[in-house]
Amino acid sequence: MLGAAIARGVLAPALVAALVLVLAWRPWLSGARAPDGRWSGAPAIGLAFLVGFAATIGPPRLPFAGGALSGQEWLAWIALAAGVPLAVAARPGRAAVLRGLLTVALVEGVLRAMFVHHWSGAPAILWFAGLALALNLHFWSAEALARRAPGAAMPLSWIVVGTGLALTSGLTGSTALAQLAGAATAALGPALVLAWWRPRFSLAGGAATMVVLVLFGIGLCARFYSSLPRLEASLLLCAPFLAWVAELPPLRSRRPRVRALARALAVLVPVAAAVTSAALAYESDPYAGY
Amino acid sequence: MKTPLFGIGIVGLALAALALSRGATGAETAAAEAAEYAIDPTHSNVLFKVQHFGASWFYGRFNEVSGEVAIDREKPANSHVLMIVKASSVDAKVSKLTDHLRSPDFLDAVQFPEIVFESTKVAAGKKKGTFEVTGELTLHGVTKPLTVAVEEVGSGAGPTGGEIVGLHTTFTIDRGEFGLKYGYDSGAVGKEVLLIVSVEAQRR
Repeated sequence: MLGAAIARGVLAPALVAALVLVLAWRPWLSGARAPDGRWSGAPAIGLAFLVGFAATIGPPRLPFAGGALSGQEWLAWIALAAGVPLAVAARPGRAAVLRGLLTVALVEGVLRAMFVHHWSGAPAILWFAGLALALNLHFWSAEALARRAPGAAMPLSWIVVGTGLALTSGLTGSTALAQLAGAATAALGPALVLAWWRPRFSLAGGAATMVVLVLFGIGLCARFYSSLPRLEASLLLCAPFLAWVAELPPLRSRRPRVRALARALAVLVPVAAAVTSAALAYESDPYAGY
Repeated sequence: MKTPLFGIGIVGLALAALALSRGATGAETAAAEAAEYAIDPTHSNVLFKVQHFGASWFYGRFNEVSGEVAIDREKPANSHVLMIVKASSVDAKVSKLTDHLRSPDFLDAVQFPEIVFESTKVAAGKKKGTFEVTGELTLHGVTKPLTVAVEEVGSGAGPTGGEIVGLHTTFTIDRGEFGLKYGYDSGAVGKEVLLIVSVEAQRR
């Protein structure tokens, strides 16, 4: 049962992402013949997340086809729709406009139920503004780090964050959200392998924005629709920023692999704290392992 | 002498007109309007049972029920049912299990706070005192048509003297049709959920 669930939730999105990335980068070619497949990262992750969604908790319902979609379903469609625009919006001005649109789509789409049923007036405006600011800080940070650290460094750091989000979501009340975080993280697996094969591989130019979009969206669902506690949510929210540690003077002059490891370890600290905190609370729970 | 006679005549005509108008209004009301009741949240129950790992029946309930019922026993087509169940009021006895049922794995109660049934057609049932109620059930953001057999259990004076009526139905849904897919394919939690709805309603 568990094996089948892993096969569906992990292998399916990983295979889809691998297929798109390999076709775009064609890693068997070398030198001048090797294409720059940077554009493919965002659509690969967006499509893989949708496939992972369908494989784990069923195909998301179509928007505007009657009935109310859940925030998770909106996230899957927003990620798919954002793939191609992120791939082509290479110029900074266009990318900024697109990130603005994605901010509105994500916060309004994923948290629609909160704005309809639970928040109104000033609290609604404050929540929207605060979450939009946090999301854009992550967009900026992820793209900047991806430009500074091509290769395996950023895929590795994001895999640490995604795995932590999956474990913490599962331990704090929602297997479905854990599976979605697992599917999103699995889509980064082929990126990591490709980056080791082709060190000029980078998440810059859209893929990093897509990773933030999907993981931030799942985090919103876990915090507001499930039972992800404030402490664990805060630790996971801050974790990606610690990848900047390799830009500090003692590490800045080190070899790329050392810096990649340092980034991943720095990110791991708050992620491990979040998972440990959730695991301790889970073990003291009489319902655990029902 | 003319004045008193004229006055009596006017009063008599007015009384006759009033009696006629009341009679006509009363007849029309009986033909077109059903008796209206408000669902009593205290004495109404919504229970469910679902199989756990193909073994036992697990029972749970919803604690917050509201709505209204209109009953026309002579012309059941004039009857109407609106029932609203608060999804977050699900109660599975153990608090963490209750939280899990509220979570996105099951009811996703923050995003879909209400479970609503509203009738679109009511007809007389096969047995006396029963109704075939057809309507739309909205659960987990999905709306599906549903027909249930409702039995009028009884009626009479309630604790405050007003008329009360009792209605009861059981029906089964396939939870997968409403997007409730946790443990669905693995069989950890049964595909079919039996709902037991027992309503007491107070005449308005």
